[in-house]
Amino acid sequence: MQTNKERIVFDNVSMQFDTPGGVLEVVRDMSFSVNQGDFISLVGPSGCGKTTLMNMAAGFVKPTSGAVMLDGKPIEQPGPDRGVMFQEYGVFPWLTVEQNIAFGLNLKVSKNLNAADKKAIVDRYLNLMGLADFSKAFPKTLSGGMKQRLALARTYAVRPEFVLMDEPFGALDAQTRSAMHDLLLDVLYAEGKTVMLITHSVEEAVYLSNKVLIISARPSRIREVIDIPFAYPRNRSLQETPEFNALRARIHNSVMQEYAAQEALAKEKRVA
Amino acid sequence: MAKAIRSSNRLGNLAWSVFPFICLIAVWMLVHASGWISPALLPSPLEVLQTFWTHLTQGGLLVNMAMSIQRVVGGLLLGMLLAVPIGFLIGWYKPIRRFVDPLVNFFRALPPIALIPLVIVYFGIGEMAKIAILFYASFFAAVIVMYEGMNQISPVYIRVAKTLGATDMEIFLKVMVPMTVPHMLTALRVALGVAWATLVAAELVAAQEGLGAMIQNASAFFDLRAIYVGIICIGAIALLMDVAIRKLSNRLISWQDRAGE
Repeated sequence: MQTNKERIVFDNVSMQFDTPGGVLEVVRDMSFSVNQGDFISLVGPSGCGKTTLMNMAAGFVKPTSGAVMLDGKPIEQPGPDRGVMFQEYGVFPWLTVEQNIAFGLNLKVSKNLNAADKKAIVDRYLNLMGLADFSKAFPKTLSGGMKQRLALARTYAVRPEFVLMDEPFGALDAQTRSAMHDLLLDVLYAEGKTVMLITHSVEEAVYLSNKVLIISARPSRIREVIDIPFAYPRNRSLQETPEFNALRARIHNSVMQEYAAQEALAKEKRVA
Repeated sequence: MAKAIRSSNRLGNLAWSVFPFICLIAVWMLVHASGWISPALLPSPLEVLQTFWTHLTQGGLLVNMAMSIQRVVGGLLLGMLLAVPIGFLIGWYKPIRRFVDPLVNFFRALPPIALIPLVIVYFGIGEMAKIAILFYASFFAAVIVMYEGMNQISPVYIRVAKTLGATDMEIFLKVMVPMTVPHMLTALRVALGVAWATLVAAELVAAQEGLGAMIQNASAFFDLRAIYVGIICIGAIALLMDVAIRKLSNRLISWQDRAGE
């Protein structure tokens, strides 16, 4: 699973935006790499630029300086090798559940798949995500957790090597989120993907990841890189161990310090 | 059981959409019978019905209706035909949206009726003039609705499609088009209303045939009953067309999540 082969590399990445109030420096000289099989989480205060980092890996934006590379080549645009999960799900409301899952399979990029292959993939994820009974339903009838599972199924259906997630569980209630964590761990264990997760939940980051990056207040730098030593497959009993809680508390403390810094920044801005 | 409930609901819905009209007619009859208003100024519903029948059988009411409907549908179709691609252009290319924005806001405020004298100067009073004014009216009504709709479309769907590997063409056909269908139908409904209003105004000013012309001619002869017939016909036809579009919408966009459902 997890290896030392570098796949996505952030090399001295900086990002600035021109705003009406002047230049806003969002990311400063950040370097890190996502290795094959990693589940890497980026935690940090809201507004610190985590989403910008994910948008760079996805190919939606390019850094002002430095480079974001995939296997040594700069990332220029989005592609089906990097699946993205958005906080707002992005489930297509005009398509049924199974049509949503099949969306990527019916594009030109998947033209070498025949109808039977496509159906097999759709059926597989319908079952895996517990959506089989809703295959012909429109998303408006689904709960938030089901929409999130549908988005995950649609992302997985096109067989991406990477899954980039931007606060995907942020809008879910606590129980649904917990169930989604376990589902995600199961599916990842079965399929072995490389994941980059943006989250503000420290607990989520520690439970899911093998590596946690604590991102500082704006402009984003890496405050700390913490290896999470627990073996996969994991289950919820892990969350009751003292080791888990010690790590969580430690990361939480770091994040809270950055949170305070970010708050001070916001206050300063209001005064100015 | 469920079916029985549904069909009784449908009957109930029908009753509820007819009942207000029955009340309106009842009030009309009462006012007429009470004698508050001179019978010369307010014909009774029954008299209007009789006039309706004579006009239908001998007065060329059908021709007038056909003319009006033909103009509305013709102008509406032409307007929509241009409004839909323009709507897409505005939604797709930001620079175009920027360019069009102030223009749209100007034309939004300008009632099409204000252009009728100009149209008469340019196109005369023939069919061409009516189609031109209706085309203008429905085009702008539709483009404005499309424009507002395209502004509301969430960019996340386009991003999702991109990450799944969609080309620009695929994003357009598989994401933009289906997302726009509800706005197109709304645009059609709004344009229909505007087209009717404009048509009658155009026919009042200059036309030989059509419901508006019929009203205008009747008013020259102080034929109040015929005026009422014309007004009621316009309202009824516009309402029926609106109901038809709504039915079509319900079928085409059953996926939409509407509040209160």
